[in-house]
Amino acid sequence: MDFALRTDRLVVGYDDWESGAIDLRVGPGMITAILGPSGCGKSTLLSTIAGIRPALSGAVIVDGVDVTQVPAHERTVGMVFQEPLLFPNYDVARNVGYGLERQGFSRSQARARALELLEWVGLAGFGDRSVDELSGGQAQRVALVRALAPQPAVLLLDEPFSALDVDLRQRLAQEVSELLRDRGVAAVHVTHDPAEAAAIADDVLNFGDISA
Amino acid sequence: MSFIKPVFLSAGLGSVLLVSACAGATTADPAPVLSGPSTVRLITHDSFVVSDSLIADLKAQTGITLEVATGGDAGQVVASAILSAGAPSGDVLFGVDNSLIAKAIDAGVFESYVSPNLGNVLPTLRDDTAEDKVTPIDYGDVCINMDEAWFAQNKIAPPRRLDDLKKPAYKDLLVVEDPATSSPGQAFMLATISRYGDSWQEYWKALRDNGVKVAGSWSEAYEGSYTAGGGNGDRPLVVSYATSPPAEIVYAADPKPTKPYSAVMTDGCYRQVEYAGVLAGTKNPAGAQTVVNWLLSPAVQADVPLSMFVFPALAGVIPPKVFADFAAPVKEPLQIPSREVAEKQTQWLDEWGQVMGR
Amino acid sequence: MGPGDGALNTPRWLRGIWLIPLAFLLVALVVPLVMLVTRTWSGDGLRILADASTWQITSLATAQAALSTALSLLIGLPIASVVSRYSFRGRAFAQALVTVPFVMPTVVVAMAFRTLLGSSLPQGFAIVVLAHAYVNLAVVVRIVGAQWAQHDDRYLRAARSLGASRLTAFRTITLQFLRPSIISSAVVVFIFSFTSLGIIVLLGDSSTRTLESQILRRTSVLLDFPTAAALALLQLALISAVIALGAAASRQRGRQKPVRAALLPLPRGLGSRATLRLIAIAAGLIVLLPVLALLIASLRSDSGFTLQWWRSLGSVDAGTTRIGSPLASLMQSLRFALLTGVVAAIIGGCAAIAVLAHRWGRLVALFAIIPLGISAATLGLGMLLAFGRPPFDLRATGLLIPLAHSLVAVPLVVAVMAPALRGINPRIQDVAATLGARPTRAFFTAYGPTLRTVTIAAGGLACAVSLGEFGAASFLARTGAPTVPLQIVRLVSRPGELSTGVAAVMSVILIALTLALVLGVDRLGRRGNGLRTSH
Repeated sequence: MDFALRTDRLVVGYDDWESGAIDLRVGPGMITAILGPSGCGKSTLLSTIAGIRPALSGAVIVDGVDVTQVPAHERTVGMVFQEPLLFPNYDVARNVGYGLERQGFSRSQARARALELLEWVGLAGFGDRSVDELSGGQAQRVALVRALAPQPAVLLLDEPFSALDVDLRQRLAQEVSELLRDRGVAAVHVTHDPAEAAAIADDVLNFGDISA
Repeated sequence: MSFIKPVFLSAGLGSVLLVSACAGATTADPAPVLSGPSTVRLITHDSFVVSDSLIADLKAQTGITLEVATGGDAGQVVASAILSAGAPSGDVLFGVDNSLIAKAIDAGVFESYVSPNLGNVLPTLRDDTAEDKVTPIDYGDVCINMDEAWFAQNKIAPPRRLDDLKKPAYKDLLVVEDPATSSPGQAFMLATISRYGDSWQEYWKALRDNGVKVAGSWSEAYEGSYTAGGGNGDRPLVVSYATSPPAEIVYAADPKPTKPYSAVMTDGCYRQVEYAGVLAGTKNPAGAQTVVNWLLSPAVQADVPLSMFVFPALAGVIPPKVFADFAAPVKEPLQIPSREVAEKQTQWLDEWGQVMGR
Repeated sequence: MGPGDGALNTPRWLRGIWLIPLAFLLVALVVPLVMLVTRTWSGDGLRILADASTWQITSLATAQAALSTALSLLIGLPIASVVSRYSFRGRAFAQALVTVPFVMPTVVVAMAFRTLLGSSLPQGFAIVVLAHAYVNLAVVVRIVGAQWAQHDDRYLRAARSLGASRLTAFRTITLQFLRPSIISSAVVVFIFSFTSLGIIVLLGDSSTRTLESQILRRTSVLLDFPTAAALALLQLALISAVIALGAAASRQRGRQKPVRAALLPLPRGLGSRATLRLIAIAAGLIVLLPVLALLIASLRSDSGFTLQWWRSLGSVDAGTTRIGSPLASLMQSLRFALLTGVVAAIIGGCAAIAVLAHRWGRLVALFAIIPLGISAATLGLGMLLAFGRPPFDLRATGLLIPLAHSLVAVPLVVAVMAPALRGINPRIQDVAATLGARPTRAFFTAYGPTLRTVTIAAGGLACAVSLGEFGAASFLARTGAPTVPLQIVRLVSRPGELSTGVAAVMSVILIALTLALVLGVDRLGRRGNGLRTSH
């Protein structure tokens, strides 16, 4: 069976730290959660899969294609970070449509699609707003649909709710889980919260185990 | 109209220029150049001024287009010229004065050239050691200026001699410029050295004890501290120029006053002579020589007083009325040979600084 | 973490961008300096280093510069806190106004102080320190203000809620956040004060000599080039040490995250509102009084108020080689200023970007600050030597002055741009990359908007530097109209009310021009991106 995402003996690291060889398998449409305390290297793993950090050794395979040497912008991997990191000079819709514009859609096509996506996550009417005007939860939702808009094969979620309060966190986790299943997007969700991992994922791995 | 033709003789003594005819004529005009129209660049200090009409006349008479390039004060111009000696940024240099001339000549800034008009220059301005290189164009005297109204009001007789400035009557009345940063300031220091010889430092100690004020620049002294300088100054005596009174009139507000505020103390004046010379390495020596002669021509010499507030070097030029009326003639100006200045300047300035605590 | 640190999506051109400022500095700074030193070098020059007076001057100048810097910060920080953070009517004008003293030629500053204080104007240490603080106010307000505008107030509120007093919170949170910009502005002010020339000559006395004033004296009074070269090298070494110290001191770990620059509404509380108003008024007075004094001087003669000086603008020295038309001087100054603005913004911008992209970039950016410590005389004469012989004879092209001005302005451009760029979260570039943006596109998505704003602002500052500079420029012989500062210097160097009156008029024009330029640049910079009021 082809995995949406596979890593073969992947070693990641920074400065003077490096992980063990990681063999990760994520099936199509599956959501895998990776649990681990903050600062243990989970984010580094995701960044390496996304292509914004180099792999020290091993391979990253997306939809059966080895992308280890492929630059980030050519990988079909989306990523949502701990903070929304919205582009401050664009309005909400332009943020969401950014990836589509990069795929060659015209600005107006991208915008139309972005507005649909915004409606889908309950942010109808927010398209023209400045990103300053969003609450924390709203901003993270925008970041999520922005990552989903170019239809990545895999979505990487790097503790996207950690900055939100508990109530919102649970609600959003639920929402995201539903959204991803709705679209059939495979995802890797990194978190330090076991409850959140359980709520969202089909499969929960312990970072300590896989990177040993 | 006289015709002067420069002839070069390559004698063993070096290039010497002979004047074929009419030497001594006060109406000498610039020599026509046979090579036709050309451009001559005159390097000079920021204070150089000449009437545009004269530049137009030069072109009409000789075909030379004069470009004037300014590069800071006289010291800066000479410094630049020394560093680019042999590859000059122009053809003629004007504005090097008698305190700088020896160093400029030693550095090979100038090509040999003796102007055919040199014989018509005031004899007192001629300097044997520099004559084959540079030509005197104008001169000015650095003198103490006095606010006449102030002295009248305060019923104090104005000082008449350098010695007077040490007297208690003139305590806290004099402002001078720092010789290390100001050209008239240095001239005044040289005047005291010329006058008092080895005991010049004693004179300055006396001035210091009599409350002399030292300003960093001429404008700080004249406009900032001098009572008649237009500011709110409190010193009725200042080191300035013998030509400051006519300048006061020319640059006064309308309606012009009939009489300047300042009088000049004609004792203890230091004479500054400004020279022009052909820059070594010029591509256009003939044109450059023509421009040196033009600077010494009667027309330009007559223009010099009101343009730059200096006296013409050429004998027999009639000064404008405002000069005749108000510029003080200095009968016995003080001077130190250029070579001596070059040798001892640093030491003198250091000694002055020690005496004055600057 | 910068995008250069192991990130894969750094555009290739970005990794080489440090070569551009490096090449510029080599050509415009190192070559002239080396030419000057090798040309004039002689062991005799080194004797000055053994001279006790050299070290006495050095230590006095150090004390003077340290005090000037402290006073600049003391006055500048409160102004920066108000002008860069709060939205109020006249804010843009106030910000532009603060820049004015910085670009006023020293002659004009001295003239303004003299007009203001009359003959009671004291000479010496205190007045020099005061003048330096006045002139360099803008450095502090601009550099620190730019960072202050990005301070996240939540850190402060957090500290207060944890029981920190207002002062403790300010000390531990705000100052900590501002540290890099305070240090970089302090380094700039220190260097300016340490190498000051015009103010020293005009207002100083024996206690305020600087190495720079000694260098000028050696070059253009004593024509003693070997000693001048030795002193210039000493000054360069000292300045480099100060820059290195500053760089070491501004390194910090664990930064507070900056937020996007946004203006706060004025606070509601009566007390804090009054404090802000007081600061604004005090700042206005400090900056405006000398300017007003000049304005009045331009309208007064011995016999009362008059428009005569303004009317005689066109006719002063008309028909002589001294270009009488102030219009010609203005056009000349503007031409140089525009060229300087463009060149300095490009070179300085590349250096500031290089800081983000490359290890070498950081070194080059430090290197780019050095021109601040180069004496005007050294620079002017060095350029004359380097570009005065075929095949590089630029003397006749009129490019030497803008080149010298650009060199002097580049450090300021870097000082304004680098902190602003460093304030941007480099991960935005990563986000763009994961969304399919090519490296160059990703870079501009992250940095483009700020780059646009800050380049314009820094370029405007460079223009202003050029408008006011005359140290290096005066050495570079040129044909055509003199720049406005040179014109002013000429005018005040001769007697007569007309001279000082017209000089005052030209000073007022120069100030107005600077104000208009800075205001226009601020407006341009705010358009599109930039500052908005947050609620």
